[in-house]
Amino acid sequence: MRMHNVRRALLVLLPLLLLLATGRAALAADPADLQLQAPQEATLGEQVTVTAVLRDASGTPIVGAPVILWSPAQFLSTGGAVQLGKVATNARGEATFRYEARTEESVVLNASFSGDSRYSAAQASAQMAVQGSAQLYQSSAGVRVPGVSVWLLVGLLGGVWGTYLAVMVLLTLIAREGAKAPSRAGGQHG
Amino acid sequence: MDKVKNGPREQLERVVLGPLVRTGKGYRLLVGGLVLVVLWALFAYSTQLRDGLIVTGMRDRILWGFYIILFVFFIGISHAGTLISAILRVVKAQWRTPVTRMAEFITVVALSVGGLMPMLDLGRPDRIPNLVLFGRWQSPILWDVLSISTYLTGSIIYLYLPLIPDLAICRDRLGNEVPGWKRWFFRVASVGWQGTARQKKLLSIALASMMVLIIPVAVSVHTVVSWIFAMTLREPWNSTVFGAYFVAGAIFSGIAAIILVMAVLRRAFHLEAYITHKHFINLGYMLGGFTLIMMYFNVSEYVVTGYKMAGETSFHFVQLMVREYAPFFWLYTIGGMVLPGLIILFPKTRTFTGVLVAAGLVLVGMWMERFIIVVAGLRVPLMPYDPSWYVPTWVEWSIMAGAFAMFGLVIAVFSKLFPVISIWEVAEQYEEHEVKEAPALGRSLPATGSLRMEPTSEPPAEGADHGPGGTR
Repeated sequence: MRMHNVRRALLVLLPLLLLLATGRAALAADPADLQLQAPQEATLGEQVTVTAVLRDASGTPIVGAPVILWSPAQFLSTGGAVQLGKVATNARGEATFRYEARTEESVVLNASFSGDSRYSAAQASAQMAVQGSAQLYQSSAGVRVPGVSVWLLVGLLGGVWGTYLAVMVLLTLIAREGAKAPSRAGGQHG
Repeated sequence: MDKVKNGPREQLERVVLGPLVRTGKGYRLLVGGLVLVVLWALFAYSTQLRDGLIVTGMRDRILWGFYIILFVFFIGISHAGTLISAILRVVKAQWRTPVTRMAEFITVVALSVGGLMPMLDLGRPDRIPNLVLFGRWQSPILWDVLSISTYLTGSIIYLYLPLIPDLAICRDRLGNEVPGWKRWFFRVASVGWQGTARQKKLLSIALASMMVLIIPVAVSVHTVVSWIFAMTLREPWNSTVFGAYFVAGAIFSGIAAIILVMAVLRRAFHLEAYITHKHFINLGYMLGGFTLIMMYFNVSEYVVTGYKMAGETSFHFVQLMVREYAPFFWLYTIGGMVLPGLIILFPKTRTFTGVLVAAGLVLVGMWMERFIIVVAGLRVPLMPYDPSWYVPTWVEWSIMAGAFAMFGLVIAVFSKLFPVISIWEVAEQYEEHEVKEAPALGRSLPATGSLRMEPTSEPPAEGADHGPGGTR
């Protein structure tokens, strides 16, 4: 009976102890410093490199920490954070992203580190002005057959409308002929 | 010449030109009724314009409805005219002469009404110019705009060319029987036609060019209309034969439309002597032939896709054949193809009335066919969501009624402006027969008509005694 009570007490206490230990660890987390490096200007459609650098308070790189790159976005009445990428930091504490600017606007880029057992969460922002008017979507034909292009369509249509035009010319000739011929009301027309 | 003046040609002119100078009470009532329906449709459209497409039954899942169904339906009917008329001219079918003009009327009117439908389908009609301003060559929508505008232009030219000698007859024969503006119209529209040998030759060349050109143009139009569907990633529209299927369906419904319009005009304008039961029976044969072609396409399409049953085909087959759209599908299959085919097949039912009934069934059936292609096709879910429903609202019903009323109205107005039968072609044919069977011909022509003709005072110009020649 006594053993049973001890087990029961352990079952209740163990999770509490664990919770205390992790809580303590969190409380004891060191501050992390996150910096985001992005070009201030970019051309529409250009691929730019955005680098987030994560260091501890002493400036030592934090290695293998996941960093998320995101941007705020709005669509109709809904808004939220659009995740652009998630990369683990390298030996220099850098997380490098390739970002393609697809909208002509001032883009706000954010990098977030959500923290772990050793380091607290950190966030950084950068702003990038995107300019340009390039057509970004370029469709490509699955199979390119020589000679089959929009010009074939133009040629066909041109042939049809050219015939219409020729018929119109014939009509003017009919009218001109009618003007020359004497009027014959009541005559044969067929 | 005296024989001609008092003979079949004069009788023909009296009967055919009669409606251009006389307007009965029935005609006014009909036109008044049609105008009212069109005005009601305009009111319905103004509601849609004010409140947006929310007043229709179209939503994000089934995004096409009556407007696109009517678009396909009317473009289909438009094949009646030009294509059938051109084919009959090319093969020199002798019985065609009283039929072709009406067929060509139908084409122009149906194309104009059908072409309006996609514009009504747009919630923002002010964006129509964007199709041209920002259109992409790769888009079937742009092909559609190009092909329909090309076909409409060609059809107007093709309708107008054989009208020229008849307009000259109107100009010379009707005189003070018609108001001044009509006289002016006939004078201008007949482009100084005097029937000289050179004019006939020029007209023959123009007609020959157009009749050969208009056939591929007409075929391309309905093929492109089918591509609006077939080039969209939807399971029921994944078909390589859609183009041919649509062209066959268009001619099929077009013949039915000619038969019905011809029956109405024949009765209204007392053209029984010129448009005989034989014409209806001949068109009935064409209808019967196309019934078989349509059956073949349907069997080919459904057996092949049904055998593989890939993707969402089973969903589509179930909704089409045994569940939600089964009444439409079987009404189209049995009522729109099998039954008309049987009516034409048996000599006992292959009568004037039988052909009219078959044509009516075909038109209803083909409307159903377009309904199941558009609505049932779009109902197949693209993603795992519940299948939607399309329930047309009063706005769509009103606009559909308005579209049919507009079709009837324009034909009614047209029949008061132009001879509904090609006088010179029929006369030419009769004169050819007259040479061979003079006594029989005299009996076959009607001795009716109260139209007063102006006397023939001047002799015909040199070379004016014959039609435009062998090309027609």
